[in-house]
Amino acid sequence: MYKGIVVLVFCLLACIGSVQAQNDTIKFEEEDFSQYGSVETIPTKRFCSSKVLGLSPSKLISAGFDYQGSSTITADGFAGFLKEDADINYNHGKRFAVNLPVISNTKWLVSLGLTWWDNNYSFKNKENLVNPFLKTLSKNGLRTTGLNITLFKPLNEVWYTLAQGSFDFNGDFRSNQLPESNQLKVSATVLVGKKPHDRRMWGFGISRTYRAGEQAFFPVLLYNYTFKNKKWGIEALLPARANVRYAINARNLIFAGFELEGNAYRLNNLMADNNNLPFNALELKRSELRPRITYEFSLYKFFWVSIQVGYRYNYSFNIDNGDFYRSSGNTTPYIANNNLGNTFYTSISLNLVSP
Amino acid sequence: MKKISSLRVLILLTFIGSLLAFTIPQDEAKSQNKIVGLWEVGSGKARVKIVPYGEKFAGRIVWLKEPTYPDGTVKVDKNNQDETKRSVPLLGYTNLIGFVDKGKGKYEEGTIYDPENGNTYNCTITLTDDNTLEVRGYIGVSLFGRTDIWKKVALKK
Repeated sequence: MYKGIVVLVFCLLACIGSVQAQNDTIKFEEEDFSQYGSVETIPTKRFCSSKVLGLSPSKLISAGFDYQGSSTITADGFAGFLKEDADINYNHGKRFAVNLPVISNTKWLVSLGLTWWDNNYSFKNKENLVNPFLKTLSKNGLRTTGLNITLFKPLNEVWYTLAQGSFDFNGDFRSNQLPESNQLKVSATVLVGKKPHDRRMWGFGISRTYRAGEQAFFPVLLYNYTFKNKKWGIEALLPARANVRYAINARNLIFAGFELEGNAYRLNNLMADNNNLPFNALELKRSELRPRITYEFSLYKFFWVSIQVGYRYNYSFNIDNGDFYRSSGNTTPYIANNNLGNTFYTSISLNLVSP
Repeated sequence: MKKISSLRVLILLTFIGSLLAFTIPQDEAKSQNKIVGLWEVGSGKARVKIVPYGEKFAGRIVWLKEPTYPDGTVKVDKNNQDETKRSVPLLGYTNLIGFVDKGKGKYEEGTIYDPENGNTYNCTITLTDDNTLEVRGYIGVSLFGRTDIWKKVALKK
C-alpha cells in the first residue's frame, strides 16, 4: 500500500509543473509613492487569517522516514504466556501525509488530510520470540492510516474558532492488508481563539485524543507568536506539541521543542494468530514523549526538507482489552504492563509547502 | 415604393450595431478593467496598484505599512532567490504580472511574487464585486494554494 502512495506522490509532484516565468517587461510611470499613504477605504467586514507572521510553512504533501535506535522491551505475561525480555535492534517507519486546503477564503478555511504511518520492529533474536505481543510487533509492526479534516472559521477581525477531526485506522495490520472497522479511532478538537495582531494568536478548547495511548479528554491551548525582531517565535498546541522557532532567514528554520505522540492500536492479527485468547479487543496503548531539535530548509522553491533528531521517551506501551475512557478513579488493571526502553531517534522528510 | 439606397441601409445598420454594442453587458465578455486601481492586501500591510499593459495586467507595491527596517533603512527584496535582486527596494516592486482578462471577473495566466519567502506562484484573480479581489496563489494546480482577499481603496482628494 505504501508503494502505491509513493507512486501517487510522485505522480502528484510530476503534475506540479514549475511556475511559468513571465518574460513581460513593464515600464511603470514615475510617481510619488507618498500619495498612497492617505486613502479612503470602503468599509467592509474583515476577518482574521489562520496564520501569524513568520509561522513555519504548512506542509501540503510530506513523505518521510523515522528511525529509532536500539532499545529493550519487557513484555508482560498474559493469558498463560510468560513475561519475556527482548532486544530491539531498531525500529523504523515511513510517514506520509497530505493536507489540502479544499476551501480557502476569508470566511472559511477547510483542509482535508490523509496520513499513512508505519512502525516496524527489528528484534535481535526474532525466531526465538514466544510472547504473542512481541511476535506481532516483529511480524506485523504497527500502522496508522486515516483521514482528517480541519475547519478554521474567523468570526471577525480578531476572534476565530477552529475544529479538527481525525478518523484513523490503527492496528497491527500489514502494509498489504486492509484495516478493519474495529481499528477505527476518532479524535477531535474544538477551540475558540483570538488573534490580537499579526504576530500573535492563541486559542483554548478541548480535545478527545489518543496521544496519551488511551482515550482521553484534555484541555488544549494553541499559542503562535513571533517576536518583534521576527527571528524568534513560539509554535505550540499543548499538550500535543510545542516548539521555539528561530529563523536564520525565510528559508532556514530551527526548532527546539517536543511532541507527545501516541495512539491506540487494535491488535487483530495478534488475536487471529492466537485464537484461544480469552480477549476479543486487545489494544496497545502506545504513547511517547519526543523532545527534539528540528531543522527545516527550502531545498528548491516550494520543496522543503525537515531533519529531526531527538529522544524517544516511552510513556505507555501497555495492552488493554477494549477502547474505553479510563477515568482517574478507574482501577481496572491493564492486561499487560509492558516496559519499552528509551532511545534516540531521527527522522527526515521531504515536503511540498503551501504558499 | 421608394427605393432605399444602400448607403442609408449601411448607416442604419451601423447605428443599430453601435446601439447593441453599448447595450450588451460588457461583463459577459470582458470585465471592463475593474481590476485596474489601488488595492490593499488582506493583512493591510501593503497596497498594490494594478495597471493594464497591452492586453494584460500587472501590479506593483506602492505602499508599505512598515517601509523601513528597525534601523531606518529601506526594506528590500532580501529573500529573492536571485542574489542580484536582493538590494531592490520593495516599494515599487512589480509583484503581479501577466494577467489576462478571461471575462466574468476572472484574470488568469499571471504570477504573483511573495517577498516574504522569495517565491513566485501561479496566480488567478477573481473580481468578486467591484471592491473585492480574491487573489489565489498556487503551485502547479489550484488545489495547492492559498487565497488572499484584497480590498479596493481610493486616494483621498
